[in-house]
Amino acid sequence: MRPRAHYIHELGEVQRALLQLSEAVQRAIARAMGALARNDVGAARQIIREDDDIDERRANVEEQVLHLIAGQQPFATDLRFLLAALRIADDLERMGDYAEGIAALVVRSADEPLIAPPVHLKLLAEQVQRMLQLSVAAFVERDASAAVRLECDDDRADELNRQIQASMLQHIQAAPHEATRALHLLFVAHNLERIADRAVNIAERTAFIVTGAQPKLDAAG
Amino acid sequence: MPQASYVQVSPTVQPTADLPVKIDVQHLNFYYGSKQALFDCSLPIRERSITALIGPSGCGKSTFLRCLNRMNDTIGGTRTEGKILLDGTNILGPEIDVVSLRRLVGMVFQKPNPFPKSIYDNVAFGPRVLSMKVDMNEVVERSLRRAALWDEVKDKLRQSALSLSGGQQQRLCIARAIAVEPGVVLLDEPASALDPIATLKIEELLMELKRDYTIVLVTHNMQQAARASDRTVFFLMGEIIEDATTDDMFNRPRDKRTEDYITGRFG
Repeated sequence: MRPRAHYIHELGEVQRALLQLSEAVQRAIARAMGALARNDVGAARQIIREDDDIDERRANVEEQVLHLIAGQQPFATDLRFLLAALRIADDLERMGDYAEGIAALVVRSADEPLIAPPVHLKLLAEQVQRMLQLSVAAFVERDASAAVRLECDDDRADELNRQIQASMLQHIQAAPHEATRALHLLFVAHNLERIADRAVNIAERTAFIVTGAQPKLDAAG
Repeated sequence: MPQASYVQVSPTVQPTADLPVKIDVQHLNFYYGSKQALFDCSLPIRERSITALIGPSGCGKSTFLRCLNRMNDTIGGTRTEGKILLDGTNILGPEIDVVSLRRLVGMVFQKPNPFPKSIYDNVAFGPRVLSMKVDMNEVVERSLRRAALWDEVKDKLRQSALSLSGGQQQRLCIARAIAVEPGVVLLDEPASALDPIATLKIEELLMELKRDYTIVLVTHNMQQAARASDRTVFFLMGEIIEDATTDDMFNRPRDKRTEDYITGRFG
């Protein structure tokens, strides 16, 4: 009989729960951007309702982790994994909130004049969704080096966000009657940029699992 | 955008690296007859700290512990190579008086073993045998206070030590060991025969005692080592595999064998 077989299985269950949570969040983000593109209020309301599912999944991960810490007294990599799992669950849940926020903006903008979203918004959305996929893949593979690559990706996301801000501010000045929807698009970009930050967090938690080292932000650069 | 770099961050400062070395074990080999039990073990044990020795059954940790006060000499056919420096003096030298050594390096065993005497006489036994010129009442009280037992027994010092509970008997054995003013106290699974509350009391006691004594503790209980020690040493098949701060040992061990042992992947 393999020592601690049941415990190892339970660790695997935590990982599976996190991956299912990440899939739910990725769907929410994609569907929120789809609702925005189509100005689909019905789809947006559905995303808002389904955020409760994401919250519940996060709570379940927390319960599983607490159960294992209390009952199994884990050490070393197991302990780091469980601590990281709590934080990753929080990061994913907040991403779900940002997706819900985008959906809420679709609902609030329903009666506003339509404007063409800036091209950079589509690029930002694609960049952010790719970053989330990469961060989850890094977690699955326990790739400690992914965080550095994702930080570079995050720089690109930040730059796209700045370009969207400049573009929307120009639009507001040129067409004040469209200011509300333009502001909402600014908020959408802000939410996407925050999702990118959380994707970097997930990669940093993964590095912590592997190395035991906490990330230290360098003031330079 | 700030760049992240990764550094080792220890959330609790472990001061042991700054403490003087009390016992310096150098290239220790030990044999039971022709069977070698310890292989080239080297380990500095810092004073006024708690060092826990962990490892699977038969790994050599108790053998190593008993080398530190030459208790293995009582077993026939054993042989020791290398050096064990206690305050700079090699205790393995033929000129060493092992009786004096065992005063300086006391030992507490797994099963509490009070003498069939009164509580008072148990504590006073060592100083009397060593003809220590002391105020015996003061020594007994001080030792029992340090062992966190005084308040429980001060009104019944003439009662038999065997009337005490298991946990109290073990604290009495600790009081007996420290009555002769050792510098080092060795404990071989001191709480394994005790209930959880008594175990926690022993651990709290050790954390108090380390202010004045160097403590080396063998334990099968990894949670105990994690709770109660400053440094942890992992033994496997007679070798020291890893020696680290307890925080590093249990949060980020360097050796895969250590990781496998403490996470229960062994076997």
